[in-house]
Formats: sequence, C-alpha cells, structure tokens
Amino acid sequence: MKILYHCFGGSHSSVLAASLHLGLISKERLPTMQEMMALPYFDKTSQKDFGSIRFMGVDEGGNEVYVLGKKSLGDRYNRIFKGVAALLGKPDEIVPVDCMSRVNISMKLGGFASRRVGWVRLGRPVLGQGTRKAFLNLVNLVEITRVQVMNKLQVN
Amino acid sequence: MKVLFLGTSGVHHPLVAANLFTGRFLSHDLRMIKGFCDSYYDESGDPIYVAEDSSGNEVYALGVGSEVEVGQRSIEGLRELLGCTSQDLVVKSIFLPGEKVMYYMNKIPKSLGGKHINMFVSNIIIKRNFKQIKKLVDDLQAEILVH
Repeated sequence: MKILYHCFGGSHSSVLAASLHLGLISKERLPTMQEMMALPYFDKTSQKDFGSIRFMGVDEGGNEVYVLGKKSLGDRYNRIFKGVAALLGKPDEIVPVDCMSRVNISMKLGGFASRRVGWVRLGRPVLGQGTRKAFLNLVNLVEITRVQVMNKLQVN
Repeated sequence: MKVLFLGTSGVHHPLVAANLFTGRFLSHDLRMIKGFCDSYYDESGDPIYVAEDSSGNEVYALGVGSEVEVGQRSIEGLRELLGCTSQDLVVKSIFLPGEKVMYYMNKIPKSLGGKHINMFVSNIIIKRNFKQIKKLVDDLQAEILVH
C-alpha cells in the first residue's frame, strides 16, 4: 500500500507526518528545530516541487510513504486521488492523508515567509514554534492513519 | 486506455472536450451536454465518466480547482506510483481565458439562480474559445492514433 501525506507546500506538516509514520522522529517528545531540519525535504522545497510526489521511505509493514505539496487544491484532493486510483483499477492501493487540518496559523505564516517569500531567518523560528504547537495533532493524525492502514490490510 | 481531461472545473471546458473526443457533441448546444454547469458533479471530486470513444477508450472530465498544472503533475505522479503509464491513462489539461470565472460560477448557490448565471456566462466563454478546445481535442486524437 502507498501512503501519501499532502499539505500546501509538501515541506512541513506532510514531511513531519511522514517522518513520524516512518519513525524518523520520536513521537514521545517535542522535536527541536535542528531535529526537524535534519528530516529530508523539511523546509527545503521550492516552487518547482509543487505537485511532485516525493518518496520518504518504507514503514515496518512494507507500506511506501510519500509526501506531496498540492498548493491550494484543497480538501477535495483525497477524493480526487481515490477517484483516479479507482480509474486505474487500484482503489485500495493508495491512502491519501490531508495534513492541512492539523496546521496552525504560525506554521502557515512561517512556512509562507520561509518558502514563498524567501525570508528564511524570519520565517523559520515562527515555523518551528508553530510546528511544535501542532506536533501532537500530527502525531494523532499519523496514529489514525496507521490504524486505517492496518484495518485495510486486514480486510484485503 | 482512459483519457482524462483536466481543468479548473470538471463540468465546463473539460466536459465539452470529453464530449467532443467521444463524438457525442453534435448539436452545438452546450446545454444538451449531460452535467454541463452542474456543480454537484464537480464537488464530489470523482472523475466524471462521459463515454467510450469509437476505439473503446473511456473518456472522463475532472475539475481540480485553480492549480491545474499542479493537479496534472500530481495525477501523473500517482499514475506512475501505481505502476501505470500513459498507455493506461492520458491526462490532458485545458487552459482557457475565463476558466477561473467558470470555476467561481460553480460557487454561486442554486437558490440565488447560480445554475442559470453559470450556464449563461459559461456558454459565452466556451463558445468564444470553442475552436481552441476543438483543436486540442483533434491534436490529442491524432497523438493517440500515432501511438
């Protein structure tokens, strides 16, 4: 199965969620900015990465984990992805997960300043603070996803 | 093979292109196209099945909102991820002047006459750009025939 975490830029919440899913970062305590910056793609993407699905790793169940920046394509994207997968005859092979519901205003502002405007020194501390605030929400989202994937695998 | 026409809204220009592709668009009256300007189909997010063409290709229309290029890239990425190729699914984006206007027309509530306003405005935009849609469809048909 392929698990696809997506958010606006594919650079912060989706990367953190995918990293939590893969155990690249501990869910037991709040990460430091240095730990987050050490994650692949975290706060490192550019405009050309929008719409590109990027591989993050394989979890312990053999599921492939990916991230995507979907820009302003909104919360319909899960349905669009499932619809296209169904079109290709593989509706159960993909689990799209929208991370935007777990993103707070500090993450949005910090991410915008750092990635869009290029004000890294101003945006990154705001982003770090917002990400730490949203961390437990993202842990919760990942746990829900892992349960969903396990249930799907059992059904199949 | 499946052919998917993408645009800001699935029930406007991509739907017209899909109908042209299948040869079902004969009357030149856009209102006769099933689902035209019907925002209900667009909200679901599912590709809208139109019909099969004469070669047995299934043709669909899909609206992805204001970021059509990002939508196309991610759908093509998903196609590769699922082990499929352009032989299984062809994704064709359509860009028209006024496409965002049509997209926002879908947001007007039906109770405020949204469907009528949507139909009126979209009709004008699509008829003005009809040749462009027709050319895109003809080019795609020729391209598929070559492959």
